[in-house]
Amino acid sequence: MKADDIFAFHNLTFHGSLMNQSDDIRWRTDLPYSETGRPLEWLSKAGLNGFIARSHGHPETVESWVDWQAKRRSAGVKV
Amino acid sequence: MEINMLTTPEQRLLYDEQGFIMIPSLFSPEEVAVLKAGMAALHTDQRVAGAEGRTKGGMVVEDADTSRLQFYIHRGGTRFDLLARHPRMARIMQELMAVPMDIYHSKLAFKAAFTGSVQFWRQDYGYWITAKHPQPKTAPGAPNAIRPLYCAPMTR
Repeated sequence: MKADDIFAFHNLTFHGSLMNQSDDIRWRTDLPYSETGRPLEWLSKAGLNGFIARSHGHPETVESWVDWQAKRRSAGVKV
Repeated sequence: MEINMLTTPEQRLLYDEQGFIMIPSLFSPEEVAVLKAGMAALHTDQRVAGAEGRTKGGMVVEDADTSRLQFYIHRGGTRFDLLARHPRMARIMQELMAVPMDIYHSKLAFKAAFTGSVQFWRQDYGYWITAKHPQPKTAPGAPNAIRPLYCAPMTR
C-alpha cells in the first residue's frame, strides 16, 4: 500500500501486517466506523459515545468532535 | 442511486463478497502532506511523557519513551478529526455500510523501522463481541478504514 491508499474491511475480515523493513517508522491510521445506534458498549459505558461522521439523509447533523462535545456540555451531559 | 456515488457497483459487490476493498490514491500527495503536517497537533511527545513509560492516557508506549499507538485521534479538532469526517472517506464508508454510521474511536499506529514487528492474522470480531454486538450472521457492516502513512521517524 502507498501512503495515499485506503484499505477498507469488514470487522469479520481476517487481517494482519508484515514487518516494516523500511528505514522509516510506518504510520497507520485506523478509523473504525459503526452503525448509528450500535455503539461499542464498553466505550459507551465509559461516556465515550460516538458522534455522527456522516449522514446522507441528514447532512446537517454532521458535526466535529469539538462541536459535539460542546453540545453535550451545554445539555448537562458528562463529556 | 448511482448519481454522485464514489464507489462503483463492482466495488460494493466486491466488498460484500470478500469483506474488503482497496481504494488506491484516495488522497493526493498534497493532501497527505497536509495531514502529516498536522501531526504536531496530536501532542504525541507530551502524551508519551505523560504516560511515564507506561501504557495509559490513550498511549501505548514501548521502551519507556517510544510511542507505538495513540488512541482517539479523531477528536480535538485536529486534521485527523477532519480525516475521519472527510467527505471522500466518510462517503465511501457509508456507501459500503449502507447505513448511517458513527465513529467511536480511532488510533494511529507507529511501526518501528527496520524491525517493525509482524502483526499476526486476526479478526476484530472478538473485540466487537465483547461489546455484545450481534452474532456474525447479523453483525452490521462495520468497515475499518486503514490509511497508512509513511513519513519521518518518530522514535525518541
